[in-house]
Amino acid sequence: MIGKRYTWIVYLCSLCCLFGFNTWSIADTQHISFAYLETGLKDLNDADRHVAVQLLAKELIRNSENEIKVFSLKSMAEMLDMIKVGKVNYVIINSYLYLTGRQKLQPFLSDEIWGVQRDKEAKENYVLVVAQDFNYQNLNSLLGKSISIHKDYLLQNFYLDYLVKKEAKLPIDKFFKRIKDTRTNSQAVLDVFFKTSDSCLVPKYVVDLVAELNPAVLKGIRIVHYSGVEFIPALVLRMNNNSVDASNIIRNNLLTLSDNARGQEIMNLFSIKSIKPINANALQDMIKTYDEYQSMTVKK
Amino acid sequence: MLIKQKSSIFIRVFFLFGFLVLAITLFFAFMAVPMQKEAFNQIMLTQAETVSRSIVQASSDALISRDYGFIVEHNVEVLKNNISIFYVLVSPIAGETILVNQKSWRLLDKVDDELLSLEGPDIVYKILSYEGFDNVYHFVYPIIFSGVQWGWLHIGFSTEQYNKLIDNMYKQIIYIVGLSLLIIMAVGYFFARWISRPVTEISQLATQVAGGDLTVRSNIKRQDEIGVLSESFNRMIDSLQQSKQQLQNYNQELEQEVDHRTQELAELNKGLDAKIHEEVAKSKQQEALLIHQSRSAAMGEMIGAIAHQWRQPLNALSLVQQNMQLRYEMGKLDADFMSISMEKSNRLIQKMSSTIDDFRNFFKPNKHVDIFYIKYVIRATCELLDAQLKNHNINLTINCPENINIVGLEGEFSQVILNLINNAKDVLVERSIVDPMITITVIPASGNGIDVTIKDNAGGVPESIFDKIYDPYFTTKEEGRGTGIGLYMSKIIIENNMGGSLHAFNDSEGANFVIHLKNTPPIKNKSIV
Repeated sequence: MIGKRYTWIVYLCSLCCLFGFNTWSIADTQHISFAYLETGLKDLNDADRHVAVQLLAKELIRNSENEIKVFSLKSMAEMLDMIKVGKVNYVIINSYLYLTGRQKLQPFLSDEIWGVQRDKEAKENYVLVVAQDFNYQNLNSLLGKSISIHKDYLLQNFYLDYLVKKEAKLPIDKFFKRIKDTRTNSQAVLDVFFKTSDSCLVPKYVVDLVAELNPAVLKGIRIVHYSGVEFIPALVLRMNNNSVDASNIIRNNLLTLSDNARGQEIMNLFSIKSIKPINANALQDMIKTYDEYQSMTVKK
Repeated sequence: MLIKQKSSIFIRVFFLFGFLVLAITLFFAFMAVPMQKEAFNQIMLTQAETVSRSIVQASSDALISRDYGFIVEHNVEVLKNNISIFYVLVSPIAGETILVNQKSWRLLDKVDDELLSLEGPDIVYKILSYEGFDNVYHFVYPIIFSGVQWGWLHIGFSTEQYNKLIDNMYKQIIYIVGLSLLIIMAVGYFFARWISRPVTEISQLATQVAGGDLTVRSNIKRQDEIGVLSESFNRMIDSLQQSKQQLQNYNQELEQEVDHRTQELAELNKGLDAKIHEEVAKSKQQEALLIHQSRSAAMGEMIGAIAHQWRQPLNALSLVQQNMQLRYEMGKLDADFMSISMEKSNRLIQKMSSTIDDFRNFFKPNKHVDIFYIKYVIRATCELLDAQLKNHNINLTINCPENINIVGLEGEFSQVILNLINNAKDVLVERSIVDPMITITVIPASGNGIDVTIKDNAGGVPESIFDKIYDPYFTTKEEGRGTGIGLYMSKIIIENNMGGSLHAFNDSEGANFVIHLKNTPPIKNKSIV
């Protein structure tokens, strides 16, 4: 009898342990959702893009029991809908799209913002480049000329539009005779060098990059305008619905992302150098410029 | 020896197996090298062509519109994504020549002559050094749009991958050959052992069997020829053992049979001795009978001879008596006449007595071996037959030197001469030969001896009976006149008692009987006659 009683006790203890561990495990496991807008990440093709974001998300929950979900979204509206219902913890977004949806996003955002860095510095300065041989001194001298620009880079296109509106008071398509969509920013610079285009608007680091490959390029081109405003090409935003633990894990992983080979490989997929935490004030220049652009548009 | 044999088979099989497998492995390995090189070369060519076509297709619009920015950017990107390409050189027929490498790009005023020589309507490649790179797989791809040649695309590929593949291939071949060697050694060892071990075992067993040990058996149980050999070997040993056992049984039986036969033979020998003794005794008896017959015949003949010898003196003595009677009747018997008659009578009686002595001497049985003169004996013998010969008008001639003597039995030699003259006389008379003649010739023979030839002119011995004339009881004479033992006894006397020989031959006149005698013959002391 005594033996049977102990056997039942052992069975009960085993069951308790089993359920207890499972309960604890389920309780500890958390789904962290990442969402991104496809339009802002055109450097990658559709298939690579989703895989790359998934890899990035997985890398960000490294050393944790959490699981990830990645949502590829078509529009800001769709994103906002998901954010509103709390399905999204992190957003990877082009800065221009952030600027456009900033007002609606703001209630859901925490103060943790990460800026994507393509060069040595997170902030990019756009320059207007013209051929050395032509006597173009400023933007206005390019009226009726051609310009090369990588149209997928929304922020650059926004700035060109802003600049033309501000300097020439004309819509961009009226100002330039031809706007050439280049595959890369480097090609835009090369177009100017080879005189297949009169000008281009690119980040300053691209000019340096092209000149690094062929210093003779610098002899063929000339910069006639600096943006002055420093742009951050993309942002990683944490929603305020995220748990503290998960936030800590992801923060730590983001900080050490560029320190490990796998993180480097993932960033290479996005053609970026690192993802750094930025202060909310760092966005103020961009926001101000965007607001100014908006006001010019409204006036018109 | 056994170990040497074992080693020999083992080593031969081992090395033969090893050689074959290694040869096949090496053959395929070295056959594979050029094929693999060619395959790698084809891969390089295909890869180069693919990359070139891809670049040209991607840059076609840019090439036509001379969008050099795109061309540079595209090729920079291509090189960035493909580290095995050292450089890309876009050489248009008209326009800027652009060289892009992994670190930079630049415009060229002029294409190197070496590269320029490669530009043609076809795809070509060459291993050369360019842009600081050695052993570059320089591939030249003609850029043609709608049948119009626009220029050439030069791409420098690294041969490192190709060389690495070749090195890997050689390494793999070395590994394969090495591994094959190990496998060959291991498998070859067991294979050679598998082949040689049963053979060696059977060989050792065969040696033991050859040494006489039939208790050994092979324990090899296999379902192949060696298994069959093993079974056959065991059956052979069983058979040998049975044969040996049978042989032993046969031997025992044979020994018993030999003993039995020996015993029988011994018994037979005992009977045979008795029989031989009996036969010898019979032979002796027969010989004695022959001798007796011979002596009787001789005596008969001698009595006849004596009768012939005595007839003349008896007639003369009768005449002397008749003369004395007549003189007495006539009264003229005086003392002188009486004395003369008595003397004459005495002489005749003396002669008759002498004749008797001669015959008595002739038949004297025991004669000693002595030296005697041939001529004397022949003459004395002829005198015994003188009357008979004269009676038949047979002319007897003796040609014999005076001083020839021999050692032997004089009486028996005389008897032989007598027999031969008698035979000659009988045949001369029988055949009624005109001028019958007997010639006795004695001449020294070649070597040590003499030949005595008794020749007649009776025509010779018929050839049909030549082989039988010395047989006992063979005679050609009329029944009652001949005994058939004369020549037989003569041959025995000459050949057995005097160590000589007697043979006969015919010549144109008649028969010749030749007695050959040695000067010092091994004479028997005792006469058989």
